[in-house]
Amino acid sequence: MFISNKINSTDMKCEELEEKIIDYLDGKLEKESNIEIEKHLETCERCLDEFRDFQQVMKIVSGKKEVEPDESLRINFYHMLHDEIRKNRDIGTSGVQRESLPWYNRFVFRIAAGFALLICGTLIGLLVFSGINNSQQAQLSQLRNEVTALKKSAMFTLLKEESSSERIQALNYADELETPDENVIEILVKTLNTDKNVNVRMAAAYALARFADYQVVCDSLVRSLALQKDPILQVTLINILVERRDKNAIQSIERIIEDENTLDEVKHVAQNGIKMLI
Amino acid sequence: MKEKNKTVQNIPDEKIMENVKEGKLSEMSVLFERYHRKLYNFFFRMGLDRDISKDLTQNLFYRIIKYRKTYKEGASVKSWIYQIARNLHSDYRNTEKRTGDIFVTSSIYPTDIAETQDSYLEEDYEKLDTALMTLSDAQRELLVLSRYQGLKYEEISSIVNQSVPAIKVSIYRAIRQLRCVYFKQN
Repeated sequence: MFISNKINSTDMKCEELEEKIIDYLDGKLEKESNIEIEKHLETCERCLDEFRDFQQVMKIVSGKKEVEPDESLRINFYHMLHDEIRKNRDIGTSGVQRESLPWYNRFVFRIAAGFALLICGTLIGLLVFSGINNSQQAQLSQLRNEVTALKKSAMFTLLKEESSSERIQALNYADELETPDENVIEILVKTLNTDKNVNVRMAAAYALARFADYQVVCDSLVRSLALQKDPILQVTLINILVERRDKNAIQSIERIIEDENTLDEVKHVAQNGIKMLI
Repeated sequence: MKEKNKTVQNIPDEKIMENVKEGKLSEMSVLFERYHRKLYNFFFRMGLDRDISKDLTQNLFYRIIKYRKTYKEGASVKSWIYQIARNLHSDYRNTEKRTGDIFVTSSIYPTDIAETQDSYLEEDYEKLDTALMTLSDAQRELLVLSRYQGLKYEEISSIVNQSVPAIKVSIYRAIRQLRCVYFKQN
């Protein structure tokens, strides 16, 4: 067999075929090279054997389908991204911008100092009066209410600011609220639907997500999904609603899939979402 | 309508990465949507299980965000991402070795393999997986990059830092070895 190779392969040597076999099977060669290879295969049985095996192995290799990661990969990624955006923002607001916007900072500082005092007060209260009688408990809960009220008013004020980092800061306060009231939800929804900055809208979406146990909030997220045109927000909202298993979202998500303007990537997320909701 | 799609989809990875570097972190989601499936499959085809593949994919995007400042403008984002993927994979293999927790090895060979049939069935794929496990990490990596990830030889060349001809030879050898193991099983 070895001898017959040598005799027959005047045009092409077996080693040359080795170099070209993969490109040939991939259809990447010039016409002349193809003809040369085919000629060689007609005369060299050993190469033909190898060729057939290669063909089969490569067919199976390329026939293997991609596996699909489960949806938690995406959800975890968006949570991580959100955390990073927030961390990044915190560095941004406490660092460089302090000098460029002295007035705000004094303002923000004052709010922060207010928090610090109240929290200290609350803590001292807790430590000193852990013996507790009713009136002291009332005092403590009053303090807590004051903190909450202060946070809320800081949020409303900061949301009106021109700088988007101030507005995002405002949404951080919303994150700290334990229970939202109507006004808070209303302004968060308004921010989600109308703020001109996508990062602010995204922060609003995540702030609302915390209160998604309330049906009102869920409903407004569903409504917002129909309004959002930004792919990042579409994906964020779909993820939040899918995580909540909110079946009311199905219709809005389907509409996104049908919309010609929707990005393929978003459609993909939407289709996966639907699968999990149905 | 298609035009709108095009404009968004046509933004090159490099432009997006530059924006991320400048602090527009939310744009990472575009890269995530473009690459996460491929990368998950990269880890999976390198022989890791689904959970670990998922963790490493997640980790990879975290690294990109964390080290975004080290991205060199103009450099191929795709190559960069795959370089990180390779590092994560080899880091993982190293800790695995150190902890003595030996993962997928040849010991998972199916004991008896059904006869071959004309169409490609589960068994064929199983046989192929078995054969894949006999390759070295480096060989498997080249095969996965070129066959499963669909990268061009030039792209692989910049990722693994080898010349295109050298890569071609390695892939040829890898497939030849697959062939031997695969057909010996009959």
